Amino acid sequence: MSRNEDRVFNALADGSRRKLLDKLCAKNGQTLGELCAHMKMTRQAVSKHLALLEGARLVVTHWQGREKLHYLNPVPIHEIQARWIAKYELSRLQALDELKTELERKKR
Amino acid sequence: MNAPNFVYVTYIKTTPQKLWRALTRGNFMLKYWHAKIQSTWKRGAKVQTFSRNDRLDWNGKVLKYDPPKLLSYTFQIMGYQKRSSRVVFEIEKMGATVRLTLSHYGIEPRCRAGIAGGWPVFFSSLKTMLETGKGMKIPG
Repeated sequence: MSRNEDRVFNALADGSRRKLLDKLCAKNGQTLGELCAHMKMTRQAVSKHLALLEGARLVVTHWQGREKLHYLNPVPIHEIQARWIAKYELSRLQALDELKTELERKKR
Repeated sequence: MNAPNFVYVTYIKTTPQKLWRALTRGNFMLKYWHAKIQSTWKRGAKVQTFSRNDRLDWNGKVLKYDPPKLLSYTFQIMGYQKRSSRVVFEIEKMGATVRLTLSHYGIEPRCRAGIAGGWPVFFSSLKTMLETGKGMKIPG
């Protein structure tokens, strides 16, 4: 698993790649052409960065007809986060769930 | 057909069969999620999840049930989404690991950010449970 984490950290250690992730976060499912419009670099360079992000599983692609769409995959980042700080996520969710039920019960 | 709003991928050290059961069986889901799923898994049948206090959470209908590869159902979080969306789970064996892809279609814009925040938590807890036998649930 650590080799995978190395890939994630390596992929994130570059401003252009973080910018690409920001663009996908703002609008998911973009083509290479759309992403190039935001970047001051050649299409080949953008394509290379995307391949690296894909290798780190931070970007996943989906074929929509003849178009290859790129999606932000936050799962590897969440896994890293879960390792150190989010162990209590599920109990927090459960607490939120109970709060919601309680508030809805009071509304009635 | 419209493109998905989100596509999530995770790799889990497990078997496709075990992952399939984790996604489709109520008590299995309770090991890593705060709700259990219920369905007869016949085409068109209801797919629902219930929280511990029996409150209906997800509500939908079976679209495709092809174990252990492809699962699709309509998806609506009660009290949150005004209209139904659609989820597709694809399971692919890759050596000693299994690749799980979730594509989520047709989410109303107002609910996208909330749902985008939820799936990574679901995936991460599912992965932990399958790989270590324990979900991220903390007792008490």
